[in-house]
Amino acid sequence: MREIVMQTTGLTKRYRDLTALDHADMTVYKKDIYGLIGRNGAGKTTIMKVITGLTESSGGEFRLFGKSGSDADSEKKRIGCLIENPAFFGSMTAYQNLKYYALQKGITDEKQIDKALDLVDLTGVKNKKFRKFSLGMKQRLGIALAVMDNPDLVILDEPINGLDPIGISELRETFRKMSSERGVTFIISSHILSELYMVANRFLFIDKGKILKEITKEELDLECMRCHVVKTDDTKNAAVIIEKDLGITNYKVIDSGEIRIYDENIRPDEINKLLVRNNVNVSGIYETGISLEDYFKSLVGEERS
Amino acid sequence: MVLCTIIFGAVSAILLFLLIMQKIETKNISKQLNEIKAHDTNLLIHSKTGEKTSAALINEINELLLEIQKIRSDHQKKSHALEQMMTNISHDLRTPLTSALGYIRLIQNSDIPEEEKLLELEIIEKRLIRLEKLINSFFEFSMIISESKLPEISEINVIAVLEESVANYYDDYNSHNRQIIINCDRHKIMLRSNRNMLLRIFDNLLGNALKHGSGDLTVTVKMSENVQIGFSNLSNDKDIDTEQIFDEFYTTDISRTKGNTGLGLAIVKQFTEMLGGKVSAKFADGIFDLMIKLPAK
Amino acid sequence: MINIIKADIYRLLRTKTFYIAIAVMLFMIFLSIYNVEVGCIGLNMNGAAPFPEQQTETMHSELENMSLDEIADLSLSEYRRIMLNAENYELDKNIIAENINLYYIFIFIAVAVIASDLSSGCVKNTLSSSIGRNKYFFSKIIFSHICCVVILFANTFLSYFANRIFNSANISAELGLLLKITAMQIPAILALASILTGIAFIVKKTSIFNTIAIPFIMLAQLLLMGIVRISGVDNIMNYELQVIINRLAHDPTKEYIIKSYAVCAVIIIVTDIIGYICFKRSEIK
Repeated sequence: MREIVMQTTGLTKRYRDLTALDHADMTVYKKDIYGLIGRNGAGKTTIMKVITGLTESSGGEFRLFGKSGSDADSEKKRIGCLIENPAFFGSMTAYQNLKYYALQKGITDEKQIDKALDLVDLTGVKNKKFRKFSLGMKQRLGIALAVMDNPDLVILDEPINGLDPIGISELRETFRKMSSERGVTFIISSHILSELYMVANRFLFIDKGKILKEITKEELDLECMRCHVVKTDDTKNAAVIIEKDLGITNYKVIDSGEIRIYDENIRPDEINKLLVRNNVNVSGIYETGISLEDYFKSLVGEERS
Repeated sequence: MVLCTIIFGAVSAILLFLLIMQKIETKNISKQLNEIKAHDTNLLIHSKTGEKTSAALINEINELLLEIQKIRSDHQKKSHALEQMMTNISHDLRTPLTSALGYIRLIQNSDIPEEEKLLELEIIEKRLIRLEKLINSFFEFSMIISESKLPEISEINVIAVLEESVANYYDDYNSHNRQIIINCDRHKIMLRSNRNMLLRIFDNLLGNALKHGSGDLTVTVKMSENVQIGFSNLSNDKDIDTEQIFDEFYTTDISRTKGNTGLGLAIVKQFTEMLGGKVSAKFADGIFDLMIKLPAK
Repeated sequence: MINIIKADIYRLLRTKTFYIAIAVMLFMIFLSIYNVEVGCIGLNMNGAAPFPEQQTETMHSELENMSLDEIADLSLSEYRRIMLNAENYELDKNIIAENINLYYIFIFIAVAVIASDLSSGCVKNTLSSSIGRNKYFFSKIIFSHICCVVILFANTFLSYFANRIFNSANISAELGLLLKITAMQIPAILALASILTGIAFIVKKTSIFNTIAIPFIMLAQLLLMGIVRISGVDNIMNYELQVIINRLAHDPTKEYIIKSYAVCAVIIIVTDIIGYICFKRSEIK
């Protein structure tokens, strides 16, 4: 079994008037690039804050590298993170800022700082004062700090904020390389699903503090795959008929009004005839493959209903 | 008097302080090394006090740790690739074998005219020859890896061996409307080398160009302080990693589907190096260039 | 802990605040030396606190023979000439007696070391990695206190040498005595520093910190005076920080030293505990 790098069970965080996290369960394996997807305020940042100790949880527990509670504190040195806005000292340059944190952590080799700056493409501006940085550059410096100390787990909160497309794709490559070559695990949050889809291999959908779904990329592909949608309000009977009389097993009942058939060789007219003959009302049959956004919307919709 | 005592006291205090710092640092390094050994981690050693000589020691240790990490990850990659290659090879070996068996069964079971039987026997022969070639190259390569074979060196005419290899492949190239062009101003270049290995090198290169390249293959022989033989052809591959192609497990997407094992160029590299030479490759503007350098007499 | 302190030294040398603090200190010394008179930031306590135990030697100078109007009419150079020839007046000792003035320098230190870190959110970078809240808190407290003590001694040395160089040895005390007084003042200085670091850890934002810290001393003194008036216990004023610092410079009794040190210790402990509790429980934004 793959090593579990981070796991939460029933993790809850309550503020005075708001439940930011409601019994969250998630598991992150080694070498995963784990994507947290949710709208603004869904709870992604809260999860990150709890597991890095910036905030106390109100209930439940989490395990870092197999250790929980106060033992987990000793494992924090294996984590590098960028949470919310990157915070640095405006009057110091990029290099000096990183050197400050390097001194704090006890990093003895100055080359590590240069390597980190090089990884995020900030070598050219290393002697520029932080207050003169653009949003993208600030973001990059935050990422540089997160990876500077050779972490085993990198936690990034909306890292592509403010980056241009080339920067985003370069960063994607960097993450992939670090994951495959050095076994680094990533937890990345974003509200831009399409971007996260390209880099992550497992996803966690979260809305209003509740976990909607934890799913691998392969499973996600399957859910969004091209399929035939049969719209009917009698999905139970329809499903039985489809299985028995047509021998189709590769299908899914989406909700109380929809069945999706993933089989390739479907003849819609056949299905229609068969169902109608068995007194199942069919309001529509069409072919579709849903976009990720629609998938997310459907998940959120399911929760609400 | 009092002044002396104060100074002496101050100096001792400072020395004691430095000593304690050193002890703390050393203990700290041991503790961290212990933890690193216990986990599969990328962590490096951190300093607790930033003291200079300990920092130098920590840097050396960290460099070693980084090397270990790299070796570990390379090893993981290699063993993954090895698994992959095993699967590929067993598939490659099985395919012509199954096919041949199928044809044999066909001949045994059904009533077919003699001419057809002969044709099918030819096909079976081709399949088995391919199988033989594959097994040979695999066997050859495993021998090289175990380095139990030392090449026998004698006086060889490189040009003659080259021409023999070209002759082997002439028909194959022709049937694809491609030519092999040799640019050489001599008929004889004598080297201390091994005939079989040279033949295998040239065979593999010509075969590789046939499989992966397009258009004519140009072979250029130059003689300066060493013998340089360049193989140049057009290539349709989008992306050739000129470092990795000599890696025994590397195959691009296209070559996989053509049933290549990736060993061909690896053998070229190994053999060339065993003969004291060097091999290098360049890929630019759709032209793939491979250069073999062999030491002259 | 040493790492955090080293990193903070690195940062301190690269921020403006630190150099402004040094400039202010130099300016204050310059003013005192040039005017041959010591200003103070707090309320003028000289009348408020009773001095039953000791005799203070009074200064003798030509000023005694002049009326108040004449004194007011004196030009600065005249005044300087008179003062430089005064007897029983030790300018540098008086300067360090009013070391309560260093409170404003310490505000700069507290801002540069603690408040800016908490205010800008940079603390989350530190806390989310290998350094826990305890270690962070203690390192910052210890570093600020060390800085304050260093400034205390620097102030003494600079005052002494500037006085000897620009004024005359006539109105200067012995360096040994000055250092002894400075060493005795350390607990009170640490109490001042603790108050400031405590406020910094409680409010966490630089702007609020400044708003509270700057008038704090005066407000505290006013409060104490109010309490004295209500309760009628005059003695309390003897243990107010400005008075403590002043009295330690003027040959205090052993009993007084012990009592005032106890007051300082209480201040240090209470403010540190409150600061720690506030910090430990807080949400890091």
